[in-house]
Amino acid sequence: MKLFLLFLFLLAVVLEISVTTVPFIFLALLFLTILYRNYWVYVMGFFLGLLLDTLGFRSLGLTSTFFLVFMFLVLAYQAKFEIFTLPFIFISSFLGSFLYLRFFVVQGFPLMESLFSSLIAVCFFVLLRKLSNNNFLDLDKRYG
Amino acid sequence: MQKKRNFLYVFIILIIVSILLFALSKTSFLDGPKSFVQFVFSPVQSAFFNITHFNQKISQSKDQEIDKTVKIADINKLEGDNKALRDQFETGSEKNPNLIPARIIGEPAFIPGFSYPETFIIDEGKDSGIKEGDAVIYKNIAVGKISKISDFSSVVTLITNSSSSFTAKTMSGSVSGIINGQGGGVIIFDNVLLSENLKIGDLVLTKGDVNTNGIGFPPDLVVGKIKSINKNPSALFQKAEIESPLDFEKLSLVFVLTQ
Repeated sequence: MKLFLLFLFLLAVVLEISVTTVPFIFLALLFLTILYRNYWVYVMGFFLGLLLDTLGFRSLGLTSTFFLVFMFLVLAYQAKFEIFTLPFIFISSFLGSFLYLRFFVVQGFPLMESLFSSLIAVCFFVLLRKLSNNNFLDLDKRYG
Repeated sequence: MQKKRNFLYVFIILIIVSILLFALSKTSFLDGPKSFVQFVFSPVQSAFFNITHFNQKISQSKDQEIDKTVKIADINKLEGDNKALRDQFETGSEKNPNLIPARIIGEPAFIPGFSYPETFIIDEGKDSGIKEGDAVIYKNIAVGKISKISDFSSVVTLITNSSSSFTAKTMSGSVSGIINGQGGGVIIFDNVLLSENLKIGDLVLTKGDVNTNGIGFPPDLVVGKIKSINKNPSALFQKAEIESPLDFEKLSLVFVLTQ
């Protein structure tokens, strides 16, 4: 299962560099951070950031730093407030996508692109919630 | 509490490593490993690109239209060279450039098919003799310039990219101006004096910005045709929107001009 997930992530990296600029990796890391809250998410973010920098012809370490700082802020917020909520998902994915696209991908004001990314995040959140309600995921046990 | 401390330690270690890697990447120390990773992923990128562009090829009629546009520009250039040789004021001779064919392996756009790409990734790099700033063309039509390069692949910034800017002239009246990409597939012929006469349908060609190292757009490459003119008497300059004969989304092969 882990190997399959790793394979999916690598494919997503290639997709993000060659076909579309939708920040799939950023959104995936955001959800992994929110769902698992484990230090290995940092490690994943670090290596995926390095890969994105290499294939995207950016300076190494830039995207990794961005991912690490963002995940740190999400986890810091989680210490005080509930993060598996629709408003948090929408705002964090919108802000994160906006900053990511502005710094690394798009020249100008990527407002529509950020909104589209946050819509993807919201749809995925709704799907996760439905799966949780149908007992396919144990999200309620994890979040009480 | 222990868990929080573990998070913090991991975060600090990884941040330090990221910053170190960032500093190292400013030297050429990591170029080798980067090029290797790009080389390994290049076939996968190419496969993804081919899958998403399997039905997008330049049609025969469009190809004929492109050939016709290029021939018009070529005839104009030959007439100019002929006149120059007869006048004996210009040699008209330039170093023969090399043409390196390169396949496009990546064309990131926000929503492929709807959003316009701003850059290409091609499968040729320093190993093939390409340098940063080299012109990229297709059938004598300007496509863009090499903006980033590694050993085995490069990034081409299209002429429609908002960071793209170079000098150009019209074919009929040799009106000079600057081509500025606006993003979203839009090209503007800007900084044209109000006293100059622009005509809709006129061809716009590169004026030539090759430096002493042979890097840049050579003269007389086709940029496109004037689609509309914006002439405001109260403004300093007039501008025109240019339409390239190429549909950049349908390209799969380009050529890099190297001296």
